[in-house]
Parts: sequence; C-alpha cells; structure tokens
Amino acid sequence: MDKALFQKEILTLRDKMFRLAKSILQNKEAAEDTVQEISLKLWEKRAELDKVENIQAFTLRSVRNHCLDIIKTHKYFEELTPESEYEDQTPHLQTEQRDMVERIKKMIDFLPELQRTIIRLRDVEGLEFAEIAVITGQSENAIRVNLSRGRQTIREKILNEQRKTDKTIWKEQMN
Amino acid sequence: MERTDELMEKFFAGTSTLEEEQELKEYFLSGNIRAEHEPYRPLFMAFDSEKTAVCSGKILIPEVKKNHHRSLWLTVGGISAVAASLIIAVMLFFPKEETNYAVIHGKRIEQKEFVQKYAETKLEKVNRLLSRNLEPMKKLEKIETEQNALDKLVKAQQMIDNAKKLK
Repeated sequence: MDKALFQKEILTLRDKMFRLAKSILQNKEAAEDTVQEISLKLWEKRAELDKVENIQAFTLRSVRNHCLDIIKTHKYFEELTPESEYEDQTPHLQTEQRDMVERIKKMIDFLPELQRTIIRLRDVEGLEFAEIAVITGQSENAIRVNLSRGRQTIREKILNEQRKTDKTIWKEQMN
Repeated sequence: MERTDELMEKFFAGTSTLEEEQELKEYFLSGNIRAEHEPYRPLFMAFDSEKTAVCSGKILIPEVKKNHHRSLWLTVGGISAVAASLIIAVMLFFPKEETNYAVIHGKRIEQKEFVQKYAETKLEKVNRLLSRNLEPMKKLEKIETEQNALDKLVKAQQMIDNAKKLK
C-alpha cells in the first residue's frame, strides 16, 4: 500500500478513529494521541494492509484494542461507574449541562465501555452489525443485545428526566 | 401502531435495520414530530451532534524515501560485483599456492630439503644404472663402426674389380 492509498484508506478514517477513542478514553488529547499512534503503526505495517478484507473494521478494532490497553495500564483512565453518575454533580454543573443533548451524550458516556462503543459505532457512525462484530470481537447477537441494553438504559434516563421536568412544571403551576 | 412507534420499539430492541434507523433520524431531526415523541428528539440530535466531532490534531506520517530500497540494493549489488571481480582477479593472477609434498613409500613428506636430497640420490642411482647398462651398447657401436669400414673396403674392391673387367 503506497502513501496515496494509505491516505485514502486510512487517514480518511481519522475522525471515526478519534470519536471511537474519545468515547472509550473520555479524553480528547488521549484520543488524538491514539489516532496518531495507530496511524503510525498501520503505516509501518502498510505492506500487510493489502491482505486486510475490511480496512475500516481493522483500523477501528486496532483503535479500540489500543484504548483498552491504555485503560488497563493507566489508572487515570478509570471507567466511569454508575455510582459517579452525572446526577451526583453539583447543582451548578447541572445548570450548565441543562441542555438535554449534552446530557444525553453524558448518559452515553456513563454506559459500560462495550455498550457505549456499540451505540456510537451504530448510531453515530452508522456501521453494520457485522462490522461492529469485527471491531469489538463480539458475535452479532451479542452486539444486538448490548446495543439494546444501552439504548434501553438511555431511554429510561430520558423518561426519568422527562418525569422530573413534568413534576417541576406541575409544581410551578400549582404554586 | 403508527410506523414511528413500531420503528422505535425495534430501535430499542436492537432489531432495527440501518435504513429504519435512518428513517427515524430523519423524522426526529425534521422538526415536525408528534408531542409524545418529543422526549426522544434530543437523543437523535445527540447522535447527529457527535458525528461533527473531528480530530483536530495533524497526523504525521514519515516521508517515504522512494529510492531507498532501490539504492540500497544498487549499493549492495555494486559492492558485491566489485568484490567478486577482485576475487576473480586475485585467483587469475595469483593462482592458489598448493601445498608441496611428496609421497615416499606411501608417506606424505612435506620437508622440501629431504625430498630434494632423496630425489637427487635416486637420480644418481638411476644414472649409475643407466651408465652401467649402456656399456654393452658402446661395444656394439664400436663393432658397427668397424663393420662399416669393412663394408666400405669391400665396396671399393668390387668397384676396382668391375673397372678391370671393363678394360
């Protein structure tokens, strides 16, 4: 694979690589470093890339594995746990993050890594289940199950938010 | 059940296709949605918004030295060719010096002086043998010379006799 083909096949995936890395690492700078590092690694192995059937899946899989290695080796990239939910944040922060779109992004961030990765690969990147299976190393059935769980969790949170809002409005109207 | 509700159920069950999900996204981003669907609108807006996140860092890929491999091979090939030529030249102009040795009575003898003396001794012996064996030959030579002289005398006598007859 020459430089022109590498740029066409790999470097055009940089934003997808970045979004996936950022979703897993929850850190913009670390995600950018990951994109650079994976791009270099793939460049060094460019001769072998001709044999790869699905370059996008292969590249994103490399990104995910790299991110999971970082999480394993660096304690400061600890997974966000449900106990540290966004609801525990101060009222001031809650006010700042009132925008529902941003809150939903946060809700996705608090999902387990596999669920949020699958949701983002499917709902943001629009990838087929077969491709997500290659990237995550899971079966297509496991992908559907995790996707459903993730979406259901978000749905419940959205409905909870809605109920809270309705209650507040109702209280305000009563007062 | 309305199609959107049906698609929503499939969406949350993880059984919807990409086309169906695209249909849902278009519906929720259209701005023309039913009131009961309103809570889900930010969800599809969030998906749409996340897609705009881009990698701002520049990706650095090392420059390819196009002729690196070729020039390397040319260099290696050139050096090899020169080395091979030198070896051939040395072999041609300075033939490999073989180890000198002689086999005497089945033994390998490499001492040059010893072999030389041995050979000289043997040659002297051969000379002596030849000289001794050629002695009878010398006598034969003498007889032959005397025989030739006699023959010449006989021929001369015959010529005189013939001349007398003619007279």
